[in-house]
Amino acid sequence: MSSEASRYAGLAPVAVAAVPRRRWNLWHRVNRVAVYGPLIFLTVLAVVPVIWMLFSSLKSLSEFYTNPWLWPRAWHWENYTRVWMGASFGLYFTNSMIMVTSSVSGMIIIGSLAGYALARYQFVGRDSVLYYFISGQIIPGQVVLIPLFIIVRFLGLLNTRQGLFLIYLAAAMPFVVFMMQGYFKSISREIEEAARMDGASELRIFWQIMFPLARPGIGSLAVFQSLWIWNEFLFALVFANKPHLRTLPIGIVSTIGQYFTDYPAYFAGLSVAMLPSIILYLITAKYMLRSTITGAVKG
Amino acid sequence: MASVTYEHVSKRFGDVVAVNDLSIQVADKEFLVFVGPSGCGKTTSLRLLAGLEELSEGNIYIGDRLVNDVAPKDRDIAMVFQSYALYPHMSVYDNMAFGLKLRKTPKAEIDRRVKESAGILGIESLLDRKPKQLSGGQRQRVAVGRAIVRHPAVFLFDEPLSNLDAKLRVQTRAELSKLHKRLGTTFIYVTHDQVEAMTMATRIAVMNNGLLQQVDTPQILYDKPGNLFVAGFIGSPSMNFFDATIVESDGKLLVDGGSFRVEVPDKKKGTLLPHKGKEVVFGIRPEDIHAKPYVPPGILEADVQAKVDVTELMGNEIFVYALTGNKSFIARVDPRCRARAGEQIELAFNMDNMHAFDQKTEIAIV
Repeated sequence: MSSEASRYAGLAPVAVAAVPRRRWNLWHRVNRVAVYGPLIFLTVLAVVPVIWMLFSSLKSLSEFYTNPWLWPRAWHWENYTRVWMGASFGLYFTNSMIMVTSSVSGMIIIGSLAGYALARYQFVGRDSVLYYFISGQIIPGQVVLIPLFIIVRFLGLLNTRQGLFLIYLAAAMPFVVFMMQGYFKSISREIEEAARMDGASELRIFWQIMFPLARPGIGSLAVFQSLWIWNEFLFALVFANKPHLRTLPIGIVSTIGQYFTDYPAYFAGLSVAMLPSIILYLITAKYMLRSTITGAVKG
Repeated sequence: MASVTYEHVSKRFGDVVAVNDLSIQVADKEFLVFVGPSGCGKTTSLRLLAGLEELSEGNIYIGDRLVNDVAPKDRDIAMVFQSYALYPHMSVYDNMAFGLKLRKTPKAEIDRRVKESAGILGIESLLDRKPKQLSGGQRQRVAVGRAIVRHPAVFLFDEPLSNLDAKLRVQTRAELSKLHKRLGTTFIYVTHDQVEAMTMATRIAVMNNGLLQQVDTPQILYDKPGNLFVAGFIGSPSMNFFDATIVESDGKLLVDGGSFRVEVPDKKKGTLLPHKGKEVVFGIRPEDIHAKPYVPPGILEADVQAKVDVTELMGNEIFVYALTGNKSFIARVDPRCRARAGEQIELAFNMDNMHAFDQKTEIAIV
């Protein structure tokens, strides 16, 4: 045994090193399949319906029924013009845009101010205020729909943009305030103190220093809330259901008839409705992925 | 330019006393360094002066002006933070100009001052960059630039070198000292690094547990520490302490450390005689312990036998971790000394530089 060991002593390190490497390679491959397999499956699950929707939007009505799964044999781009010109699609689109920009701007301005105050200032009842906001997140919108309807009608804001704006603002505030206060808390207090020593007022510290620093958080919140409002159905249906106030989700659904539905046009409408979400994501993705705080403090 | 006075200043955070009855006068153009371990109250003292914390008790004056209720921006001070605290979305130029813009300084004057300060610090070429495009050392310079551009009466530094690597720290230390001389302004500096304090300060204020232990020039703090804490904190490696008794034998006054007996020099006898028979803490710095036969001439040596535990070769000297009895201590000895771990070594204490402290009060006797 000992002579055996000494004979191969010089080779031993090579042999010992080779076995674990093979094992590692196998384990590495299994690992990659385990990680990427589910990811690819989920990506397919998300992408296939979108592609199917785009294909369907470019088919003729008869082809939609005869060739529902494959790509179109003839590309009917006119479905898009038909949708945009008819069925008040432009109006719904504009209404949705107005609701998204106004509500999200309001949410970000009010939510970030409130979040900043909760994150940075000591005042009596601060924790209670924060818990009050957090508790708002556990109440689903459907539960408060009837009392909300009564209040909005009482205020004379039923079927007005202002009414829907206020509802979106109130519904989003718990989440926005909670997220913003967390975000402001994560920003170094020394930056704020440096600004204070430089002579900045509290309001200037907020607008010129803290708010720009919170851009990654604000960006992701804005995208998140924009997507929610862009797709929001229930509140828009209940509180703004006059034809001239309809938003896209309500408008698209209203094209579905009891006896006849122009599905290619319907899917063209959905494709157009999806476009701003994608553009918004592409514009703001860098804010969500990259932090501008890099370099502010030590490191 | 202004003096700074802390007058019986205290700061409490709930039940915790961060600063306890601090009284200190910082002269105009002085470079005062607050030094002490973490949580000793040094940063709080600086933040109280900056106006970033409210006083619990006492008064702070900048020049003759009581500033207790004056907003930070109106105190005519500028601060360099530990994390630099640069505005990451602004260029270096805008970072430096921000304070001046808020003070409605004319544009041409802002430009002149920013460029002048950038010139002093050697960062002219970085003015268009964002903080994230700078190295740690460059960021540190910008943070200093942002302070000096305002020409304040007092500069405050909160551990500004602690994020730099060792080499850059040494270099920046010298640059800050030069800057102090060049600007001729009062500098108040906080650090936990006693080497930084020793090398830069006009005077050092040593703090521990919220209390000011001693404030004096670096040399006096080193030569005549006021108490056991200061003696242990100033100097690297720190002073060796031995529980000992002062005894008299054959007309000589001796320090009896159990495993060694060393004679008290004549010039210190008078002060130690009243402590005869009492227990004291005997202190000797590592640099005052020499290996035989490499003892410098002209010192009053007292021989001590010890066993070498560990040696660390530093190139120009050797750190010997030795044991006498069961007590461990450090000696900085001549590199020619061939001591090895486990061997006996003959050492000589330089008794001219001995220290003794009261065991109960920990206050220095000699």
